[in-house]
Amino acid sequence: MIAVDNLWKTYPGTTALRGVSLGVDKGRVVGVLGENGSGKSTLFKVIAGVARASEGRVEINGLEIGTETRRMVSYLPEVSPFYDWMTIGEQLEFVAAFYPDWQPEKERELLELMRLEANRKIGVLSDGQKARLKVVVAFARPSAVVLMDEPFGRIDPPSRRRILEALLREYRMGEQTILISTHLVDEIEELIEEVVFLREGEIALKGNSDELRSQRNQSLCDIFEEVVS
Amino acid sequence: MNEWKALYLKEIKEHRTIFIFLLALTVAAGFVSVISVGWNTETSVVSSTIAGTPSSNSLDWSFHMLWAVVPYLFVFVMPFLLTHSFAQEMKGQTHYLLLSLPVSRSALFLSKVAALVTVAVAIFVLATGATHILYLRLVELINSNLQMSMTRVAPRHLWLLIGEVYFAMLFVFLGAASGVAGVRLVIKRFQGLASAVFVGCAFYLYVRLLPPAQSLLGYVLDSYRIPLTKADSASGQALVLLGDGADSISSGLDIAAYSVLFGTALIGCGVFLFDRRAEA
Repeated sequence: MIAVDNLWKTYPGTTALRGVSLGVDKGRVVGVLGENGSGKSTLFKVIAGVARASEGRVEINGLEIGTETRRMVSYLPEVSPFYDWMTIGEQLEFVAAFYPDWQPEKERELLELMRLEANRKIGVLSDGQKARLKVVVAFARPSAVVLMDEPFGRIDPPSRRRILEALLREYRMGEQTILISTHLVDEIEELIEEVVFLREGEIALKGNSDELRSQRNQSLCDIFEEVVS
Repeated sequence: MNEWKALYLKEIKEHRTIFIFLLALTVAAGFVSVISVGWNTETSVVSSTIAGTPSSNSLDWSFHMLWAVVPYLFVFVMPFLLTHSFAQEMKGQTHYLLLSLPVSRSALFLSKVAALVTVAVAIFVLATGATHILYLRLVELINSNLQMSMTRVAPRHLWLLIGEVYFAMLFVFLGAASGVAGVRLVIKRFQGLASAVFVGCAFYLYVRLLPPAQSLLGYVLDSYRIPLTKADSASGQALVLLGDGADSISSGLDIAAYSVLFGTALIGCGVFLFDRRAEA
């Protein structure tokens, strides 16, 4: 589904990714874990098509990153990418215009689940509410790939649980490939099937999360601590 | 098509306050300039007074008439609005959303330009409509009070002459702003200096290329000249061409067409750089 081959990404004065190679099968839930500055967000940006690779190849379903792959991907950046002057309803209507597979019924269902009102201005929402809106945008259509960059950081713990439940439900309904980057490893430990540990722009460790746990007899949280240190 | 519409409407809505403000100011300025024109019996000239009191000062005449010119100056605001629009996307981090949408980078860029051109067209129509009315009133006042015929161009040619200058400037300025938006994506340090150098180079190139472009386009466009006409004082309606040697003026279409093409090329530069370099 996703093939990353020798991916390098450099910015003036820094190298964010150093030859990352990765393959993700269809329908898998992958946790991309690492410290701040390890390259998680950059990897997601390149896969989402909002940043360009300096070197290497990234393909989704055999297609190079471009307009067609962006149609397949739902990308939730770490920041809030919404227009403060729009209402939630206007924002969703704007995004829906670009995706013929947008499902209004699903949108309403998710708004209810996330306890958001369509007529509220985005500018007055809290960080947590904006984070929940990102989840609505990501799951209101059956996109093949969902990239969630630090989705839970600004959400209160009880809400995180609700979002996690929604993710599980959405995932089980379809064949979506989900990549989640976070440093709250314990929150997603039970959800992820594959795990990739990034350190200083390189893959430090990757594999099936159950296998890694049993091989090392440690939780992902402990493995994360070990890899980071 | 739906995607273009969504982007275009987003741009219009995002800047609706400033757009409405500019259009309201255009209407108000046109209204003031039209209602202020009258006939001053003391000075025997067309005068301009707001409160209905004839003015004996010829400077007042030009002052009130200047209101008709004010909306055309909004053309200078357009490049700043374009630059501001890009800056706002970056500041609000909404470029993350835009760049992740399944549309070409060119569409994102051109939707911003299209929104500004739409507003510029609306300002032109409203402002030139007012100028048209003002012009007819002036001709009528001069013809009826001085019992003479005023040499003039037909109103449709008034639109052409004003439109040429207005849109030539609009496209050159929008082109410069587009180029600057592109340059700022390529050059990360000393962006202010780089932008100033780009604008300087663009205008230098514009001036240098003007003579050859004029001679090239002149073959096609300069043959169109605008006839000067004279209103018959008896009816005030009939149009009579003036005599030999002064029956027409150059349309200036060649310069206008060159300016629009040059501006479009600069917009193309901006689109190209944005397409290649825009990223979050």
